[in-house]
Amino acid sequence: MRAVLFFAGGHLLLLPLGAWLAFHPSLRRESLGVRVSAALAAGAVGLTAEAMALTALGIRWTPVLLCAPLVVLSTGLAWRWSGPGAASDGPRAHPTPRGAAFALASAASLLALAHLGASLVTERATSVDYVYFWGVKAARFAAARSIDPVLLGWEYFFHAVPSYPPLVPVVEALPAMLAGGMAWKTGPLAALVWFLGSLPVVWATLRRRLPGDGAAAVAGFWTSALALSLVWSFSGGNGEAPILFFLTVAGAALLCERPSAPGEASRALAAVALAGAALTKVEGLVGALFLVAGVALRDRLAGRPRAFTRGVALAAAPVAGVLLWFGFQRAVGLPVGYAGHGFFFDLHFENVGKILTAALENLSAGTVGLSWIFPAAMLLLARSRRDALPALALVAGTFAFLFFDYLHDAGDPSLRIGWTLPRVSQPALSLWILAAGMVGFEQRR
Amino acid sequence: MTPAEGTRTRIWIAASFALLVFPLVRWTRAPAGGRLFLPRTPLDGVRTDLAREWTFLDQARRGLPERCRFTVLSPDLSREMDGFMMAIGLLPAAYPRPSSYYEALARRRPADVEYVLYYSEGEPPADLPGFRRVSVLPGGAIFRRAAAAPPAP
Repeated sequence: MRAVLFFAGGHLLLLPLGAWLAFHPSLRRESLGVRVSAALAAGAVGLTAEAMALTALGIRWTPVLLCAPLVVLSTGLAWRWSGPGAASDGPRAHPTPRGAAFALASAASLLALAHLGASLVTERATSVDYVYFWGVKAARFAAARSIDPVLLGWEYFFHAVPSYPPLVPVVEALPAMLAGGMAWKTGPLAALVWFLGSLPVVWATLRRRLPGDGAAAVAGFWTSALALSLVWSFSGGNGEAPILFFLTVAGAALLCERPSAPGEASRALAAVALAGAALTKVEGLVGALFLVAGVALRDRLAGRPRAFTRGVALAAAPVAGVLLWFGFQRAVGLPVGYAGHGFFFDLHFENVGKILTAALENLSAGTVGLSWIFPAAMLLLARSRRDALPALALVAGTFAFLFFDYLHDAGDPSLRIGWTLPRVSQPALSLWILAAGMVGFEQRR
Repeated sequence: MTPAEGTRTRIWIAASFALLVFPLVRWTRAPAGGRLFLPRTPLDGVRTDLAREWTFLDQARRGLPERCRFTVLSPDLSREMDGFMMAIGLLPAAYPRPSSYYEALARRRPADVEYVLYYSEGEPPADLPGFRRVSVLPGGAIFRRAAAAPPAP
């Protein structure tokens, strides 16, 4: 019973908390799946912001106190935006495919999802960090009814990376309060929920850019590659699946914009998802900022008016998210900022060879690298890669950041690269595939 | 759809099925009867050593008061750190006290500990200085302070 309450409470409850975004005029003509994904993103971000505010004010959480304000806000905004004529014209999608290609691509996706689901249920994809600190924070936050500043500031909680923003533990603490404790074996299944949550957005955006069968084929490859990678990198129960969700949703929404058709797509969904990425882990902020830089560069090269200004406006969301976290740290007396690996410019260039070797060894994604290599070939064959710039910027920025981070290791960084790279590279893999699919097909049309 | 798009579609689909060969090989290599099972801990499929320690801590926590002060001990300091990290979450309302941290012994043994969760692959000791054994479990034992513990600082 606790497991059911925990699982249902953990993620289904986020939907009414973030339903306002599903009713935003830019999303009202989207599919139900896209609107559910939007509600999931907005619910997680809203809940985290509220949890920080209540803790900073010294108010102990209750499930009602956490949920009621967000439900009221969602209801009010949904009411306001649900009037006649409030919906903006959305971009047209290609017709839904029905042929053999669609059936085969769907079969591949379902097999990959079955692999992910079975691996999570049998705990073959559990992250050890889940029992070391991600789930631990959630359990303690639920017991303390707050983002326990005493715990985060305790010298013997250093292993739990207290400087990480709190989205994942907060989202898991709510069902823990409802269920009377953590359902530890159920927790890793959250990775499946986050992954399923990104699928409708990926599918919708691909259908907008590609012919139906082509969209199905790329979606099938994306689903297979990322489902396999989540298992391979042991991403059950940690922060990787949420980051993958947020950056994929934002990236897909921004990639499908056509710079030649300004105003085609609103950036509301992307902005909320970018804030969610920033509130999950430091890598989320890095990915978000590089993605936005790529969008601004693409728009600038396409001659789109106010490309830079629109980029700054988009970057405001993840920056606001992380400033909220830093503000919280300051308000409760915690060290402000992220904990780094050593001094900023204390770099060990003698390790460059080891870093590159270990990086290549650990980018197999459970497929001896095929998940990376095949899209790379498609990108190389594309006549123009300008529309892929947002994704390419995120990929390049993520790897540059990780390279810089690994340079701080005085000893051999190979072991840490093996622990971290397979999972932190997943948002880059996701957008790498989507970009390859979009530009790879378009140049032939 | 143009012929070129049809070709690309078929290539992408073929690549998707090529990816699926890798998990298929892994599942078929799993021992018969061990492919699908209901796990007893969140770690059964990834770290059997940690799963054993988790099982011990999960059973031990049922014998402890909710808001007690505890520490984790083990002859293996690496196991002791693992147990300490996991116990903080398994006993979310209790007050953890480390005896060691990242395999470095604490400068002073925590003075106000009421319970010791002793994890060992072998036989647990009959007693610990100042503590008496109150329960033996698979993988270890629970010890309780013999005299009243000083109040928490």
